[in-house]
Amino acid sequence: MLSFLEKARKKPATMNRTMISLIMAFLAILWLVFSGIQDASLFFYFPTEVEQSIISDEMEQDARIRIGGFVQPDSISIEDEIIFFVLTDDERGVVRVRYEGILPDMFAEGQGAVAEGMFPSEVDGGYFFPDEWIFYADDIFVKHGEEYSKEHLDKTEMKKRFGSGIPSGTLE
Amino acid sequence: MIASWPVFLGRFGLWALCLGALFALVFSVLDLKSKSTWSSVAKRSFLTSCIGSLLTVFGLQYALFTHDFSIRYVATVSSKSQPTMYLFSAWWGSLEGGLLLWAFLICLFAFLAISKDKLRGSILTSFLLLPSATLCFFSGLMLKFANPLASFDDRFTIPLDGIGMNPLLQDPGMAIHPPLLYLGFTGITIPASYAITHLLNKNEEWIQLSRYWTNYAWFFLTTGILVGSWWAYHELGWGGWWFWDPVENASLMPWLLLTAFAHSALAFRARKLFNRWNLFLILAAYGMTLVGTFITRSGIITSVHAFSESDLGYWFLGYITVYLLFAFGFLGFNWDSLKDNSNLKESASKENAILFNNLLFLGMFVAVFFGTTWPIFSEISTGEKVSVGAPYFEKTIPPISMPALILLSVAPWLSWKRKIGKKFKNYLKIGIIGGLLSFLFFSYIRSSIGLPWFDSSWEHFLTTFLLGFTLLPTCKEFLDSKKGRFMNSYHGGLIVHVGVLFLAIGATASVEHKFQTDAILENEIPFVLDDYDVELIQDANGLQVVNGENYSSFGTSVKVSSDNGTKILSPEKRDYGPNWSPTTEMGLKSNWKRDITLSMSEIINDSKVRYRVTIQPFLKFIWIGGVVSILGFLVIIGSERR
Repeated sequence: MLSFLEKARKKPATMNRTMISLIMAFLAILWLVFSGIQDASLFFYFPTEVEQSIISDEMEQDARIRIGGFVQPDSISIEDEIIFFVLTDDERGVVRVRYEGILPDMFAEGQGAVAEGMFPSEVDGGYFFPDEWIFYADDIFVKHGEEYSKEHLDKTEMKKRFGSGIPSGTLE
Repeated sequence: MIASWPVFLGRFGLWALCLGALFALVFSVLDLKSKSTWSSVAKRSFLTSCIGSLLTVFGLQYALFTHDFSIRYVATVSSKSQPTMYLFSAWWGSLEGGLLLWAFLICLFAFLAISKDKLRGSILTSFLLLPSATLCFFSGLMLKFANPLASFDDRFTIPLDGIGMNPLLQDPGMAIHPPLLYLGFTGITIPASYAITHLLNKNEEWIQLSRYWTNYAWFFLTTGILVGSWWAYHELGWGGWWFWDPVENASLMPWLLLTAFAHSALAFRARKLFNRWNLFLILAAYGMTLVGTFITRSGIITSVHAFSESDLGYWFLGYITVYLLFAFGFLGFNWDSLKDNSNLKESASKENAILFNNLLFLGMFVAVFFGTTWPIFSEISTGEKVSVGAPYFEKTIPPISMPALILLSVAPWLSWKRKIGKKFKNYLKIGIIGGLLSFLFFSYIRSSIGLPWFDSSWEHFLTTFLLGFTLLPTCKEFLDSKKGRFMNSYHGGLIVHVGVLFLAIGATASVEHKFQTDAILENEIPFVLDDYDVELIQDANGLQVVNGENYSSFGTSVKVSSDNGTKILSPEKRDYGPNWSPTTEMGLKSNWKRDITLSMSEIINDSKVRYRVTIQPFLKFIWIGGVVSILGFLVIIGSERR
């Protein structure tokens, strides 16, 4: 069983420069990938988790993070071209988000959205009031691909229309 | 509620599909295990399964076209006002129908392969293992979790009209994109099945047999990805064409492995090299089609918790595990007996170039795979959720893809076995002249559209050089080739390579030189982007409201003047009623040098609208390159038809 492994151990392969350079190149790629992932990955929270880490004083200010949830119905307001809305989740956690810029098409109340940005410690020279914990987003994403389909319709909207006779596998 | 007869027939067909596949699997295993032959029984069971899939499709289409809203699936993906074409494409509008399409296409491909390649005996039964197991799995999922022909529960009244398809998806591009991808995914099943015939039955012809089907799979998958990207650019109105989204990556991962396989299969055909490696690649590519579907369908990317809420994810994970265990188990146990010509000399030969090609494609696959799945690993191992976005991919992919592009432009001139020949040196000289010319040409064009000619990313400089570097020797090759040998698969490959370089120029330029700004336009007041020599004027009518078929449109007319004349653009916001968020129809002024797009972002009042203006140089090269690649691939398919 697994004789190919034993064989490889017994008879050390004669490595030529081609093989050595292949292995070196592959290791370089692995290094590139894992260092890249470490640098580029952002922490991702649901609104409930944001609330919890604010309460337990663990939320870092000025760190770039992403928060993903549903846009709470009736929460979008626009003041002087600045958009405010509330992200929420199934466990009713809420985060107020402030965003300047263009919202993607699929952004709407009741829809899933991800906000990228930070809780700044300082805003325009003035101090940030930690009591308010407004999330300063500079990028908003909506889910791409299959989620464009009705799967992403607000659950309550679906329930209102069809009761719980919704096809299985389409909402969860 | 009694279902109509076609729906009843469809439900019956689904059972036939499932049981037929199950019997095909059982009798195939029996045939391989025992001395007596069961291959004709297995074949007949498989045909039953094929007929079953046809009946199910017929039942579903009948229900869709007759607006039978007592079927839950029909009520969720279609509505009475839906145009006919999108009633048909509602078939794959959601999970249930997507599974059915997948099953149907596996039946189709496997049926075609069996009849075309005249498979018989134990080759047939070992070939049938993978398609019939996959069919069992998919039809089982449909029967248990996601039946496209299930009715509403008795407790609920049948709705008078369905929800209908998302208006964003009501577009020819989006109607054809999913089936193309599915054709590509299911097409991979055939070469993977031939790999299994080789593992179980020493089918020495497996590479020759699978190449034909690999070509089709590659063709459909590539076209599907390009059409999806084209749709995203033209319909989403964000000015982007690739977002490194998990759904997109799910189609890219099998594509990368399939492309690696298509190249290393050449080395096997010419020199009987890399047999084991070929088997590994194609089995892994098939595995990635399952993993990709799992990632996008189970919700695991959003959160591990979302995944655990639905059983579907567990079933998928289970099936993937079973597949990997069997496929790589067969490979491991047969490792020693697999014939492999290991006579690989250390020289600049074509086989070594292919080896490095495979390394780079595998590298890109690793980068995309870990970038896409890192959030899952991170959450499982540390409990911390992370998100990996486009910056990661933009940083890791170029250092791997650029060497691949360099390789692509020199490797075709290398010869098998031998060292660098006269032809190579000759082409290198011509190539350098061509490269410098195209480099200067693109620098000049950049300066003519308001970009500094000497300042760009190294990736963009490299790709503009490589285009001429490849194009000139390619032209010489075409001119020199004797009449009878013109347009064989080698020439097709050269055309694909040129197409890829066009695409790379567009991709690198649109990443490096993308310019985006907000513009508030008032009626008849010009908005000038001096650096880019672009002027925008909204006409005197301001905002116009027009009612379309199933939407109302808020649109303006904006005159865009730039170096090559003026064009009136009509950007719109379309409102599809309370069920759907509005969509943006962008205005596009495009020539080969650059794309100028205009999307409405906010309507301030009747005469004042805020737009997002995007200017991207050479973006059209992406679509040109895509079309050239596809044409090149048609040459390959045409010349390798047996």
